[in-house]
Amino acid sequence: MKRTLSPALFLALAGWLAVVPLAMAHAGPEHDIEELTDRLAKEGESADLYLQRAIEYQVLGKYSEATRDLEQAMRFDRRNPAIQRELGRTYFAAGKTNEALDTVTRAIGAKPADLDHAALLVVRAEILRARKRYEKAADDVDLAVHLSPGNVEWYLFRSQLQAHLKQTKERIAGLDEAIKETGSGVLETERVEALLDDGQFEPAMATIEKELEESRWKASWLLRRARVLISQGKKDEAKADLKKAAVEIELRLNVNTPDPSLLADRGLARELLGDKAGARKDYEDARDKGITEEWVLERLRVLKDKDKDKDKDKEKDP
Amino acid sequence: MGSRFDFLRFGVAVLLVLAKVGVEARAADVENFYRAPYLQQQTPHSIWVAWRNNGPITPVVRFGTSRAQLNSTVGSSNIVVRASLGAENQPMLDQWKALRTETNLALPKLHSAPIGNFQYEAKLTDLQPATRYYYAVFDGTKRLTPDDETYSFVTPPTPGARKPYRFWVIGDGGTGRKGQEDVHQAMLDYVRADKHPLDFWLHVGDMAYNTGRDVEFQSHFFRSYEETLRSSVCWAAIGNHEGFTSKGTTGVGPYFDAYILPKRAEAGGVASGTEAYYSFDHGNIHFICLDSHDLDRKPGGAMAKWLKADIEKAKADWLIAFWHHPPYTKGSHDSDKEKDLTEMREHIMPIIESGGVDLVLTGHSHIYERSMLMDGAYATPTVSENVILDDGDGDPAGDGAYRKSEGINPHEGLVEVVAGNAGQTLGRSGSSPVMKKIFVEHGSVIVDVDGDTLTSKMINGHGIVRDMFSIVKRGQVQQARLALPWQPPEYKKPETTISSPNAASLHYKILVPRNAEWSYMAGEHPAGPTWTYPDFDASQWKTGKAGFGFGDTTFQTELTGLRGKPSSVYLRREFNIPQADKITELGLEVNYTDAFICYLNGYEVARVGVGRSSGRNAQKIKAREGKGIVYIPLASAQRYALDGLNVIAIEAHAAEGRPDLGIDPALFLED
Repeated sequence: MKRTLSPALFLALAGWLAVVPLAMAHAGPEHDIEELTDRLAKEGESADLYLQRAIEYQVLGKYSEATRDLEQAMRFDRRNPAIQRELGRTYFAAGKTNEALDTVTRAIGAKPADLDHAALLVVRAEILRARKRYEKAADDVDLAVHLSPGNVEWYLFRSQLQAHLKQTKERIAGLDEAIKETGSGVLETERVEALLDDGQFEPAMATIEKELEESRWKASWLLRRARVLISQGKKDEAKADLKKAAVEIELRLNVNTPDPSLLADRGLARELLGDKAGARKDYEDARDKGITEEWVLERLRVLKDKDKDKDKDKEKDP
Repeated sequence: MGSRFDFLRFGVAVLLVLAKVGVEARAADVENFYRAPYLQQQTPHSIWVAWRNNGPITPVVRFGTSRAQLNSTVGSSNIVVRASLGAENQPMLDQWKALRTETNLALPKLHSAPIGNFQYEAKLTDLQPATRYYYAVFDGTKRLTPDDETYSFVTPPTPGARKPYRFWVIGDGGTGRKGQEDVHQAMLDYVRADKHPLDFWLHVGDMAYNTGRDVEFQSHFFRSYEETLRSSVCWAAIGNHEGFTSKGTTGVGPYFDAYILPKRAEAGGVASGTEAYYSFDHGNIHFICLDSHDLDRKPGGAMAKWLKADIEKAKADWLIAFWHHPPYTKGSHDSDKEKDLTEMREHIMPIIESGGVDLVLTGHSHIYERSMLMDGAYATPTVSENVILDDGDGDPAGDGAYRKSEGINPHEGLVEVVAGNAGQTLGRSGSSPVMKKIFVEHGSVIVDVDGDTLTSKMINGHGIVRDMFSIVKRGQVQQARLALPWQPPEYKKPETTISSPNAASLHYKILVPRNAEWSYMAGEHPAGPTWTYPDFDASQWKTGKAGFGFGDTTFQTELTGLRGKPSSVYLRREFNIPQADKITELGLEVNYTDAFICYLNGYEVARVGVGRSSGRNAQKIKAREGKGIVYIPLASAQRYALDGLNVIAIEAHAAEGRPDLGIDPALFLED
């Protein structure tokens, strides 16, 4: 039996057929995974297809599937730094730090191009930080920013590691160089933090006053000024700044679903105002909502240690 | 069946003629440029004009407030030049080899642009705010742009000025297909009819499918929006498809070659130190653009810290943020399941809302979704209870505009718009409970800000206004959270979803037409793989016109009588590609029974229905279930294509026991 199609109907069908492969490629990660699986079956295995599928699995948080695909990708392109970096990161995200460290270290050893080398060093530094090997992590990031200058995230990471290591002079010098390279406002603020940590209150104060003048929301700068004032023994002025900061933070905090960065700021205001229990709770809440900044974790450690000491004192002298 | 094939041929011929007309018309528009002039990084006192040529020119830009008097000049010594000159031992055309001079090699590099491309970036300075300027690009004294009033722009007023502003928002449009063109045209028609042109536009990402390569930027973005790009600035956010080839961590790739974005607060806000995220002022609006694709989204990361600092300093009447991955969607992506989206919601939205942002514009999900006035919906999965502040439609003619207090105030609510419907294939997986309007159709968003009122409209590809809402910021408003707000109806996915079929790309060229002459071998198998190589001598093979086969249909070249009915046929044909690194995609439009493998210059680029091996050893050949012509992109073809002569080779096989064999290919190139 002969069937006929009108030309108009044909055009619609041809258009649909033309778009089917693309439609499958853009209907979310599950569909992308299906399509890549299909292509792996049809076109044969390749590093590129496995890498693409691994990235889709990562988006869905399916790290074991992502790991499996990246291991397969390595079979076809063992020296590809992008695959090695992703595999290292995926191992790390899945909590397999030994495998992560091995993979990334091997990749670094293969002497990749500068940009790849730098990116691998930063992944290794993240793993090393998680293992509390701060010095080695700082060395890696330092080398990374020299191999590939201009990355604000990496400069910030180095500064935070140096803060932990109390390498204050190196930290300030590194930030000066980074600000010259990028002009980043975040790094300018980080430099003020570094100056405060180093006790260089005068140069810090110049920036703080300028920011207070220019900012609409002032709490974070009021907190920094209060730290300077406390160190200068101007307790009343500091207290006034802290109270102002606390009022502004309360205004901005959504009680049910607070912004964790504001919780951390409120924690500091409370701590400096003497409310250690309130501060500890704010820091804990901020940490639980994703804040991993070193200064928050450090303040939390200090407050916990003080609470422990108090408990011991109570045991000794009930 | 013969009749069906005739209609298929007729239809494909019509499609190809249409495609060819499109390609030629566009080529004429840009004959003086590889990439026509476009505007970037506008401030009240400056703007950048960028463009590209094949090979170097002596670039000059003249501009002025009258079309007849372009009395200011940016000379070549003040114009930034970037070049793509290839690598030392890379094969290239002689004309490009000659450009690898010491001077040219010292120029900043364009990443992955076609060899021979020179990009020029001219900064026009000392401009007056809120003033129309005309401009023209020259090669020495030769004018390259036409004397046309569309080569003009209006500078923004000084920051803070309250005037009516209009901007266009699109996402996920960079396909080069008809849906994209319809959406663009609908916007042009709308603003023309309304006599209120765009001041600028925002692209929320995925502007160069499929992998953001330079040639994809050229064919799917710069060519598609040329008319709009020459008269208004596009402020862009990186999408995941650009992210295949451009990295926010390094600021390197075709995306970063294409755009000139503020790193050092050149257009307002706090300096981000990177083009991956930035902010700018336009009148009384402060805009914030984030990289939701490949940077740390956590609150301690550099981007989140910058966001907080930038918002804390912003003093405009309106705060508008845009990025690619939506914190709330149930379109072609699901914000409850995907990490990138969940992290934007959990980590970034608290900073956005405690800073008092009014509107969030996103894409990624190929749908139009628009929320109610909301605040604090950070949970996973997203729920609407106690996070909706106004569950009306926000339409002044309907439930009334959304109300907020004058100025910038935290937690008074924002509206999120997912505008990922500017051209890519659409999709829907459910109903996000915070959404008020959901449309699975192509379109884009036009936003008007006039003093204390913001109005947003979604115009579909046919020019129809499908959604409208307003936010009015006046006096003091006390917001209340709704315990049980309105919710969109539950979405039931249809059995089969075919949404918005698009015609083939308008930028296709035919490399091997249908019914072309091929060398072929049937009834026997070639020895080894050498028959697929460019230098194979096929002079002993027969020649015939496609299609080839036998069975219950008529073929141009019937394969009967060749030692009975063969179960395989092998085809080869030479064709030319002028410049291989300009290819976006190679694809076959092919009708076949039952299976085939396609090779380009000896490399396998497509395999359909052949389970294992090839040639005489081909195994697991599946009988084809469907019928008719299909389009098959040739995987990695760009990698194997050569400048000049290329060879395509195809082996077609019938499944065991099948009474017919057929292969009828045509080869297309997208550049």
